[in-house]
Amino acid sequence: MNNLVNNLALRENPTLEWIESLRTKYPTERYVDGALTRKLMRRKNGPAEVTDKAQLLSKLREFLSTRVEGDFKISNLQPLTGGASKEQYVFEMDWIHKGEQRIRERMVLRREPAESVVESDRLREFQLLSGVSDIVPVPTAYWLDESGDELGSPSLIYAFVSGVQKPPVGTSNVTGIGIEFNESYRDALGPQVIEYLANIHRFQGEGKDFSAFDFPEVGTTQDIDWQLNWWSRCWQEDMYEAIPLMTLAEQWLRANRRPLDHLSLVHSDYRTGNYLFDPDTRKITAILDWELGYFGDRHFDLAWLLMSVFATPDENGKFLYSSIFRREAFIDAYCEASGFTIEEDRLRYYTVFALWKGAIFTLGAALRAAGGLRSHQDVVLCWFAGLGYPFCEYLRKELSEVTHLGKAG
Amino acid sequence: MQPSFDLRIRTMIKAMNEVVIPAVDSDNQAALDQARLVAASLDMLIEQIDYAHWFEIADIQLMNRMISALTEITPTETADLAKAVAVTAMQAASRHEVSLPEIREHTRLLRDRISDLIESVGMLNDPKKLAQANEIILKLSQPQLNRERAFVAKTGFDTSPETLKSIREALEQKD
Repeated sequence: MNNLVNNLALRENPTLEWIESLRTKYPTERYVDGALTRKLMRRKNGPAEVTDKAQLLSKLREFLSTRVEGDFKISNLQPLTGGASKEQYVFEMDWIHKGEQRIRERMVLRREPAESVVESDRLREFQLLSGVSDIVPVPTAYWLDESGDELGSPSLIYAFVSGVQKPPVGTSNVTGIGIEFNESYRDALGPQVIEYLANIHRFQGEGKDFSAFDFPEVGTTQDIDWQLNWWSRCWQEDMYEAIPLMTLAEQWLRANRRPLDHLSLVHSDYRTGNYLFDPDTRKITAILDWELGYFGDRHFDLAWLLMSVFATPDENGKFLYSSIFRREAFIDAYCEASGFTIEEDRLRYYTVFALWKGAIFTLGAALRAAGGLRSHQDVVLCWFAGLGYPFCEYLRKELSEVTHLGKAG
Repeated sequence: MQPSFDLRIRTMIKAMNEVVIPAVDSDNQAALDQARLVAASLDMLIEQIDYAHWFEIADIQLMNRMISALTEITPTETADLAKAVAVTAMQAASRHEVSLPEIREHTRLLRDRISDLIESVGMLNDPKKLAQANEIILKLSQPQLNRERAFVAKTGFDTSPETLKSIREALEQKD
């Protein structure tokens, strides 16, 4: 074992040598490597400064002045809450849309904090929003500051979409976890959730700009190798202490990889809490949070949605996955809608992967960002880390089952 | 006599709920959300703080058991290093004049050594030893996870709350 990568001091104050050693040990997609490397370089800067709203407004005006035709006005810049990851603001913009018609539109400015519960690349996110707009409802992505040179941090601007995460009466935990729906909502939303997931998985990027993505080869383990390396690297970069169960999980995951059977776009955080709907018509108005999207194995999205950590009880206390579905009914409906089959062994593999990955965000990245005071909501990230132990407990149970079934590597 | 942690934290919670949060502009949802989380985090701390030392000692003891079990099946050099770290950690755990951060540092080193042991078993290409290592880790992880989950139960993320023990019950449970 390379003790260099287990050094707490290096995690907090990374050297170029250490960063290079991680990049070599954990090869992954180019733009993912870039995002993780930038995170480590920024870590040397220490705690993040609070965003000065007046300065941000000035930068926003300057940025838009070089991209928008004709006069425009922006006003009412306010922080937007609800997510655990990026710093978001909403503002009003009075502008001539596509050079044709003057409209007043609400916009969202989405910025990278110095460190986040997940590190991702804004160009990838922008390309995803632009690329899937024909197949699922998403906010219209307008502008991108890829480097952050103009807006102070890599950012994108998209149209605000109206809608709610949860019914008007009800509660949830951070990032929309724990939302409960009654039967009427479930009947309305469930088929839409499945239909849009099927659309996403049938999409392979054809005809759209996905230059920031690397496409794995079908019939190889390239897709899962990149994913395992991405998240293993995150864990090495962010963890405060090793967790024996996590070491075991990674070992099992690497020993049990399977070649990709069909290339799909994978949303990577598809669940209740990451779509908005109209509370009156109950139509989904937007699928959100595409920042971790990639091209690979569709089984991941099903495994993620079907995790018990995202389940809530129905009126009789039984689990509903993503607050809507019974497990078998969801899989059957998905197969019918998509035309794909789901292999139970592969789904089981991706369940272990999903739980392991969830523990990495919560007990690794979230705590590391909060501990370094590098986000705009460190107290939220610290609270969110409480999800890490349920992730680990479900991981323990899942690994106990798969190893008992003789699937150990 | 020092004001207890419990007393101080209760006064902070009251100040947040009765004075600070009501004064926050209701249009500033980000500030309101974070202020409420501050109060909720303090409420969780008040439950944890009396057990913080016990929690860390229980962790060291469990990691020591994992090392004892794993070193039966691992190559000598890796095992010897792990055992040496475990001896030092257990000595620290038996003293009263040691701070929580010092105890945590011992735990961190133990956990690093356990990861090394797991990896070294993986490299042996011996399915029987791998299965033994799996069983040790999976079995001994459960009581530790029970303690961890009990500690953060107030975050409300646990979807099996009926299986949660109180912090004290989780700490009293024999591994």
